[in-house]
Amino acid sequence: MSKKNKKVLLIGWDAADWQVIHPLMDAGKMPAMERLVNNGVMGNISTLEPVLSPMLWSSITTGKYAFKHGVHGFTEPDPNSESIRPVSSLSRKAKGIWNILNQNGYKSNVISWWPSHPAEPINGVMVSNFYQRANKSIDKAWEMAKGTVHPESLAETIAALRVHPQELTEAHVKPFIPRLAEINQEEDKRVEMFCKILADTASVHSAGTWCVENTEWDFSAIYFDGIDHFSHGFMKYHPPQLPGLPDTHFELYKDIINGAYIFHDMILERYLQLIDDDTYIILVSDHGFHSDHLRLTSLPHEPAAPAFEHRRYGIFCMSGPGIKKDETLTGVSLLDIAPTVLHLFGLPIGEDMDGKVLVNAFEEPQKIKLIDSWENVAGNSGMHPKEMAESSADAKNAIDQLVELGYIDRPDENAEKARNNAYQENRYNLAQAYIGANKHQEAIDVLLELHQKSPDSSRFTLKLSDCYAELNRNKEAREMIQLSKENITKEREALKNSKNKRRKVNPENIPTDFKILDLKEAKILIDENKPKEALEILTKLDVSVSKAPNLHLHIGRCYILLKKWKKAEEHFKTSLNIDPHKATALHGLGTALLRQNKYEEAIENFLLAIEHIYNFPFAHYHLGEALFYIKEYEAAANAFEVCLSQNPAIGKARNWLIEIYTNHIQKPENSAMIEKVEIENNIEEKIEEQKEAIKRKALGTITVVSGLPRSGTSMMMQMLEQGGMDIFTDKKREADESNPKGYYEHEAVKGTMKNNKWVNEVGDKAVKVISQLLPSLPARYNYKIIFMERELNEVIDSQHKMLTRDGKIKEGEYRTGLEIAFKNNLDKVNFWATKNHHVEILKIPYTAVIEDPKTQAEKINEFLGNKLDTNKMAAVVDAKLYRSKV
Amino acid sequence: MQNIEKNSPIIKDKDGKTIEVPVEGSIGLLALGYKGLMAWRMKRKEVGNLLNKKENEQKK
Repeated sequence: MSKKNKKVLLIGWDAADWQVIHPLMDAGKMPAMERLVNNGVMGNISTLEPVLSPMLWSSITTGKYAFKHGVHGFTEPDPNSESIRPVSSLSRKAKGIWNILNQNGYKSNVISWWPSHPAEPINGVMVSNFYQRANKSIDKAWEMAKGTVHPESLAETIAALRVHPQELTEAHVKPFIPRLAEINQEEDKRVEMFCKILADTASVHSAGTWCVENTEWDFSAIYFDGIDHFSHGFMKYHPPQLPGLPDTHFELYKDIINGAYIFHDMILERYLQLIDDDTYIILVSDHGFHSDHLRLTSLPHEPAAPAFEHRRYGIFCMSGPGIKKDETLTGVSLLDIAPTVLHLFGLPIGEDMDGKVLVNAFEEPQKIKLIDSWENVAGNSGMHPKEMAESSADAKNAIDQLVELGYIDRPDENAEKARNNAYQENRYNLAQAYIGANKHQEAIDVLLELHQKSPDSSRFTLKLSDCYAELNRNKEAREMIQLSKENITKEREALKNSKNKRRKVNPENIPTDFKILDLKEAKILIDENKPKEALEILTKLDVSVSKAPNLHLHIGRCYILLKKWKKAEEHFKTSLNIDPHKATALHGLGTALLRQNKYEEAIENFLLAIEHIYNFPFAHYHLGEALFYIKEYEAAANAFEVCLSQNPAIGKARNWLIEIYTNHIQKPENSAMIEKVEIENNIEEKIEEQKEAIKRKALGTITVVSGLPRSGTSMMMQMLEQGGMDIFTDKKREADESNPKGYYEHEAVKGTMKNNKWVNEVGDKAVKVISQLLPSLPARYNYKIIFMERELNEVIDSQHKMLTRDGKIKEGEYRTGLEIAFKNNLDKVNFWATKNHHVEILKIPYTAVIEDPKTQAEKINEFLGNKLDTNKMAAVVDAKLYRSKV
Repeated sequence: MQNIEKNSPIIKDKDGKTIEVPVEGSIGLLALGYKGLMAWRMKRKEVGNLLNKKENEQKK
């Protein structure tokens, strides 16, 4: 018996893409899909890196990144033999949806999920991904690998539902290839390939419908790889005709892709007939597939090269009781499917899951329950015991299939080499998974290991340069760019001399265009706030426009930094003409429009960017800014909150939020950020409480001593040190006559206007920052600033004496306008401090410290949380140093 | 073997009208899932039996 009435049917269409579906739906050729979309929610689904299906479908069922679920590629070294094996259900270390449901008494059907062989002993039926592929002629026995079906008692029944490619007739092929009769099938093997894919799809559907109709179930997951395989084989023939493709080939095979989608729509129609209105249906793909001018005409010379044809956005649809109708969802990720399915069953979400419940899909969202991790929950999950081993013979068949589909190269006959290759690929994939999750240091650790073993591989040095650049380790990034240049040269030479003609290779594009290295250098320069230098490189590149959306993206960014908004707008538009789905270009365009006060247009572009990549904190930030300017305060607050939830380091968002909640909305209870703060006070107190709650989102609080140079900042640093605080100093500037007890400075602080990364190193120490640099401190931290005040005349006089002593000016030679400049600076600091809620400032008059150090030390101690020894602080003050009294 | 019809499943259109299963099969039958597949295989078997029968009769 199934447990409850609630049912969920999850259908996977590998590589399905709205770009193909929308025109077909508009033409009325995908009626089932149209019904599903109209009765539920739909949207793009963002894929993960690397875009390799076994890793992605494992993320879909676990809600976790690959570095947590353990499936890292197509194959892996086989611990039980000297060779390799395809990734399997044994490779997955985390529980899939069906395992969690198993532990909660639900029954599941799982059909052909990748990877799912050997079938797991769940409460229900599992048909593994070894099920459908025929590897022998129809006149020979079509055996099914042991472990393909659970329970074993159903193996014979389900084996009989497979469709052999040679069973298909002209009647099956002609709807896809109307001019079949003109093809010489002895020479042209494409029809044979087509039949294999069609038969595989029909087999999976046959097993799927049998399970849905003949078993009691709560959850059914049916995975179809047909669209992906049809696309890899035939997308190059899809209209419009690609340049260079012969007319005859185009005419013969141009209908296959549309036909494949229409056939899948007919399959969907069948499932819609088989379920009732109380069943939730989720249709999802793991990525899209380029079907337009971005289709590749040749594949890179890399393992898993077909994955380069994948597009970053797949499809997502969901309908069922309580699900909104005819609405578009944004920000859906593959990682969200497992949490959402668990939520549909009323089960808690593992806090170690990387996805979220798609609450916006529900008409009335229910409270989301949480659990630390499902991995620690005891009880029968239906997973295999860890010691279980897969048959090596079955593994070989599956590997042959992967080779045939182009996903992997034929494994090296030398078993050890094959194992090493598989290990290397999986480590590389793992590094990419880390990069996709913004874990660049972890990626660097893995890539360095690979780089050590294969120092001549440009793949590894290129990725290393990206990772270092992301972490602002630009020196190392540049070293890797240089190494990549050398490696690419060697690889090109090797390729020219290679006798391996098996794969079509264009040495001009492959392995990597040198121009990409220039783009990387330009990107680093942009990050270093050197737009002019970056532009110099970018404008020299002669990359053909059709291939380089990134070129215009980077040029646009340069113009943003140069505040040339119109120029920036033009280049972002050019980038979008090349790739209209490039979220970073949409964001750039939005920013350029925002700065030209074109708020509505800016908002439109930010929303489009977010629709493509939801986890895009700066797009939410700028959206918030644009919404604020058109006085949509609630929506703006929401955007800033999303921004902060994605990246708490964007401190400016905190300031916007406080501004909005304090001066425009005054409804702090609406803020998700204070949900854990239970207060019953009046509105002012609530707002204060909210300010505090928002501040707590900062990365930490930093103690700063500031003031104009020669206003007593070094003395204050000394007081803090004696009081018990650690000091952030590199001790490079030694004590001298002007500051006999030392300067307490750090060289890095001087470059704050260009690079404020040193702030991350400060921690609990006190740092000296002169007043001119204060506004450059990043808002991702809160600051407690002890600001030294001293009469401007005294400051100027003291500075004059110091410069004279150092021989930098002559005695009696005064620079003009200093007083006004310093006053302006102090006004600017005051304005900055009052406008920024992450800044608390305690002003300490220099003379007060000289006259009554103990009282001032106590004030300071209170400001900093009463941790200091005020007697020792006071003892530091030496009135004799008060030399510039006026 | 469980739950697989011994007789050819009847395939009907959306108006409830019985559809004649073509011996050469069709995409529509494949899209129906296992029932469509079974119906097609049954039809092939029936036609095969019929042809065999005719052939045998002719031989006699």
